[in-house]
Amino acid sequence: MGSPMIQHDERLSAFVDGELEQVEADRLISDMLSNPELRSRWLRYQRAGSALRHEGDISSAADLLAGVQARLASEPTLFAPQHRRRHLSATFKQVAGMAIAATVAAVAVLMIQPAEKAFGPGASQVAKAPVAEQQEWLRVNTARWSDDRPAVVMKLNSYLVNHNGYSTAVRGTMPYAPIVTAGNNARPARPDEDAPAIEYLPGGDNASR
Amino acid sequence: MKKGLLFLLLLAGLTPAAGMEQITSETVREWLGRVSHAGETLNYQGTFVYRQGNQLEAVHIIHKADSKGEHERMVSLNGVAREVIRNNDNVTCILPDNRSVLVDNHGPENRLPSIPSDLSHIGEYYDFIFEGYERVASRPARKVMIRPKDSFRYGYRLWIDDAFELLLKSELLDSRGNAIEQIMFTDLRLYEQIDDDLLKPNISGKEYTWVTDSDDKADEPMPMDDRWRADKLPQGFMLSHRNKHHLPDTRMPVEHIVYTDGLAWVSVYIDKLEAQKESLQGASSMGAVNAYGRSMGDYHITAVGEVPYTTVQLIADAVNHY
Repeated sequence: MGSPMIQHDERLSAFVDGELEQVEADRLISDMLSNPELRSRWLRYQRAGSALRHEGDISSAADLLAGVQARLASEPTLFAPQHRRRHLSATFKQVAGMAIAATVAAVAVLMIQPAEKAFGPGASQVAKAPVAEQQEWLRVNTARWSDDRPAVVMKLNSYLVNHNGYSTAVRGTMPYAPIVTAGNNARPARPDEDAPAIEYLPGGDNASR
Repeated sequence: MKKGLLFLLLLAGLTPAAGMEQITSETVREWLGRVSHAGETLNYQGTFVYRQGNQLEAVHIIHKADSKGEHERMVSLNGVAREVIRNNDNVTCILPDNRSVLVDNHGPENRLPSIPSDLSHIGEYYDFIFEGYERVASRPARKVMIRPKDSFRYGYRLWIDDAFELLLKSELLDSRGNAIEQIMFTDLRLYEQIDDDLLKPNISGKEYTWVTDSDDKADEPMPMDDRWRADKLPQGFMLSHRNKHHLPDTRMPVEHIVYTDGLAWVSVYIDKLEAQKESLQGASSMGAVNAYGRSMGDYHITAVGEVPYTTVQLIADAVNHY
């Protein structure tokens, strides 16, 4: 038995490397939920890991989290129900939406590649990072299929993303997945030409820091 | 001995035993029906963690509901700061790692809303059990177990906010009751109003490559081959809908059939076998998702879903061209 923090560090390190037993991982996560300090240590480990993998300019997650929490603390906590709509079988809308938000964006990185190929190498600036680097990122950050032949993985990913979109759409869920499959028919557009009318203004949590 | 008695007394005091007995399976199902409504109509901000095996993602979410509908922004807090911004059906996904922005403008008419009208049998395949109260993200929550009655489907454990009926935590459970996947708010705050500025992305998007589907003929309905059918599905599963569409990886359109038992969903994809391409033969899995593939003549059939391995296999095997 070492000091508690040394123990935590060993566990965090093993966890980030995916080497912690399931039971241990469960325990660590429940510890993290009740212990903000441990949570921010985990974020630092993640960040260190990302830097080692040359992920480039990643946001400082711990700072962002702290900033967001500070901001939240200063705002009134009230609520007002809005319009009333019922989706009887939309039971897991929220869950599914969150899960998809967290995972599909990762799969999206895989999906961009074929879309780009379709337009030829000069047509798009999507893959600026060296291919080897991207593959490394994928290897580290995305869950993998147990059959890992590239053609099979590619196909299963496109099925999964599509499946998420449809099955969750049926549940009335946030449709993140179709975004990704849209890559199929998409043509890269320059923001000043064909970009849809979405305004990007300076703002958000980081801008105020 | 005294200690034990004290413990029992404490337990009796803490457990709302009297209330629990009156909460029926029906009541629990009603709660579940209201959960998604709460998720759509409340204004809230919070952080949730999504966990699959040893992978953990932390995401900050801002959700606003007003007369124009739902507005939402999610920012990944670890790794690359990916953002997803949603205004009703318009979804923008910002991927700084690729310096790209994906935009999806699919209106609801492009998705298939059909739900099996008869879900009254869901109680035959799952038990809905109220397990008491617990705190999640510092809020009192009702803990609910959805236990499958056979091994064709996974179970769920849900924690529903006692005051606002928002889902605070959810676990997908394998046949032994182990959590395969977990989503949980670590902090959550509800608001009367949300400032629009909070829904704006941090990234200008100016130097990014934009990928949109604005000129998209492939989304027009294609004739479906409804001779692809399943004759014998695992108990409780029924046809939800079918479709035909292009996927990024396939040159030929793919037949898509969706089956559901009301809670679990399985997709079957049928595409023309490409000689030079490898395809899945047998099983593969990723986290809670199982897939099973097999060839049939010139075609390849894949079943995918968050269901046990046997279920995807049975469904893939059941699909045939009649």
